[in-house]
Amino acid sequence: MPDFIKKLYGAPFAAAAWTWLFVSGLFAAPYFYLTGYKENELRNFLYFQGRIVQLAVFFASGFRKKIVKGKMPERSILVANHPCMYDTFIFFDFGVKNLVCIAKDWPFKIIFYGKFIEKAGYINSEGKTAEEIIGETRAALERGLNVAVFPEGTRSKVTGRFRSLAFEAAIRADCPVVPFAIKGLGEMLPRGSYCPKCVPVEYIQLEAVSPRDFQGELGAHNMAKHVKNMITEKLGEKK
Amino acid sequence: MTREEIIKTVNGALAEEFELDPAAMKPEANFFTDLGLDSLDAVDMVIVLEQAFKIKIRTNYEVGKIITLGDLYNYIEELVKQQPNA
Repeated sequence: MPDFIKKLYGAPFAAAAWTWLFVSGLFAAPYFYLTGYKENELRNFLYFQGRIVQLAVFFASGFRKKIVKGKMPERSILVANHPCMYDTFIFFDFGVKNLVCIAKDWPFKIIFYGKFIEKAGYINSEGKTAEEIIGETRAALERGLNVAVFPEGTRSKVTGRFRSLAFEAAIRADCPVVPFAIKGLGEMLPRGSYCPKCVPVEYIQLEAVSPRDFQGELGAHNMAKHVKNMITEKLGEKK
Repeated sequence: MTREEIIKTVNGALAEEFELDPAAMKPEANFFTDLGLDSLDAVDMVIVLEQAFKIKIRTNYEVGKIITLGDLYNYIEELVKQQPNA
């Protein structure tokens, strides 16, 4: 199928996803405002919004979306490679409702959605020290939440360097890290593009990694490398 | 350890870990705007500098508040003086 046909097919689904985020936010905003932005309700609403976005991804992929689930620990740090701006929503396909993410400033500026994620306890890393981010991550984990992190920070086509911060938080909070490999979303919606291509996608949950296997001075560093290896191996990027 | 040795070691360790361009590594270079690092990189910076100088930085953890490479050279120089095993 030629490239432009693939894009023509995907465009309505991207438009539907963004319209959905805006319109559902518009209707829900007065309720949350009047009820004082209750965290649990907001996270349930974000889960609902995310599942619908994932439905759009399913259609945009030409019904070729595959999800490989595993056993999910109760509270954990979820890490994945970061090929696409829709990555945040992949965890909802695994049924994770009590989720917060560590993100830079820009998602917090999206109308309605930004306010919801802020009030739901998502962690804005912009302008904060590593200690502050680790402190907020530990606090979220202690409240029984799962924390999603993209250790590459910025979206990339080929998996880049994994920062150790999330792994340091996992070691200090003594909670497992669950890696996820995201295949195909980078090709569907590459950086700088807003028009998705019709390509197959696959989300694969990998085996949880215990922080107890990574103690000592280089613990977080080694854990980051280990998890990155697991993901790149699954993606077929490993040389 | 002289200041020149500290600068060389810091630059070598950071260039390797963060794949930085050695030409951009000047004392006035800002970590965020000139070198493209952010607060998420602070943990890795602490780890590589602890390894390179055999010193403890983790207990202070002020690295996130250091703005330029020159600030970092000064900070490491102070730590090396305080921790003579370096």
